[in-house]
Amino acid sequence: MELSKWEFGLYMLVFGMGLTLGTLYLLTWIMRALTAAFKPEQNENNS
Amino acid sequence: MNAETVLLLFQGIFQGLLSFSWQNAVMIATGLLLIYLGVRHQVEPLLLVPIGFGCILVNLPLTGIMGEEGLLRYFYEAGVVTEIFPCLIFIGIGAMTDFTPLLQNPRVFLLGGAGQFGIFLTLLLALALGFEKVEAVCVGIIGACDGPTSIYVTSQFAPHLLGPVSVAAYSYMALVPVIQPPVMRLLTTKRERTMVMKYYTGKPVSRTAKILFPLVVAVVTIIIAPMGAPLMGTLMLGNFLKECGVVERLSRTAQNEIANIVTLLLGLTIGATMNGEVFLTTKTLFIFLLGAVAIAGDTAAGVLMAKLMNLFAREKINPLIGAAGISAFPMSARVVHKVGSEENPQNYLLMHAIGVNTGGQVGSVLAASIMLAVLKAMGLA
Repeated sequence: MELSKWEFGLYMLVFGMGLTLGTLYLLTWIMRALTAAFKPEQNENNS
Repeated sequence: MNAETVLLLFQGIFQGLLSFSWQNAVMIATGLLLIYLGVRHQVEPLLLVPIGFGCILVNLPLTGIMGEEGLLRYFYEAGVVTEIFPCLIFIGIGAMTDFTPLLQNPRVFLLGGAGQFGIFLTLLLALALGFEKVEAVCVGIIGACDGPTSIYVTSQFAPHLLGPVSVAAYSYMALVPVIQPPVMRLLTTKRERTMVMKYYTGKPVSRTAKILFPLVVAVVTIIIAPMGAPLMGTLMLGNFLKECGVVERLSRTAQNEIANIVTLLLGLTIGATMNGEVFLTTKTLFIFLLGAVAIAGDTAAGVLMAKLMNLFAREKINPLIGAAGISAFPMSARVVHKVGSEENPQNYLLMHAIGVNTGGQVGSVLAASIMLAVLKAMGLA
């Protein structure tokens, strides 16, 4: 696919930023699920 | 001995001096400046000292130290061209990072994504200034505020820009306390800056969750952007070594011996790419200018994203912490805390900002991985 410089920049901005934010949003839910599924035991020393 | 022989003898002895160009002189002065900043002002000394020394060595005439069989060329070929050095550094960084504050407040992960906006803004500006597409990607990556990531990407796509991009990346990481506060103040009101946030220190996170975190992040992100596997894989491997608790020796080795040895060799070889004739170009000047724009753009996007999140969230966040969504760890978190406590001495933003900052570390590697994936999809990688 041959893109002009500006098309290239726009694609990078939209896909790059969009996918980064999308993936991190997915990870926030996974992390919530992780911390909810694995609660610390009473004797566990948390920081 | 006739006059001609004497002349040849003198020419042989002073050949080094005759080969010395003004570019070499400027770069030796640059090397000395980097060493001065590292030693006298402790600006990223672990990197700027070897970079400065490497820069001086390579600009001394006729040493051949970066020639085909030169010592630094061997290090360069073995560690930078193969991308082994940045990946080994990532194992160390992963082993040094505690993601607990992020796990305590996962929603701030998004701020670590917004903090990568400077990458894309700088990429567009670099294109406007006449850089080629892949060169612009390498200049943009300075906005990741992450030295190893910048080196990894630039050594793949624009090795001729490795010197300026790396030096700009590390220099601007050191300049975070200068660049970020004015942008943070410009985009926030006094009321926003003084907003007190609930303290999360006591919120417990289980050991199992901490152990699973690096595994899950590695699997999810590598499935989405497989080309970033060396970066994310090594970062999360290092963190897994730390959290699993059964390989303390490996974790300590990653944090100390491996990170230290590789930092030394990486710094030297980066310095060795700073040959005057290659380094002293208009592009280098642009790269340094764009580096500042990149970090200012990251900061602005992080703060604005925090404000956007406040429109929808029940529990508001202080928008200042959005500025910590970059990879300069823990410097950016400290800057946020300092600006917040100057506005309201009762406000303790450090742990919140640390969470965002660790999110920024993952975010920067992820953004780079996604850029590589998009480049591959376009047939440029």
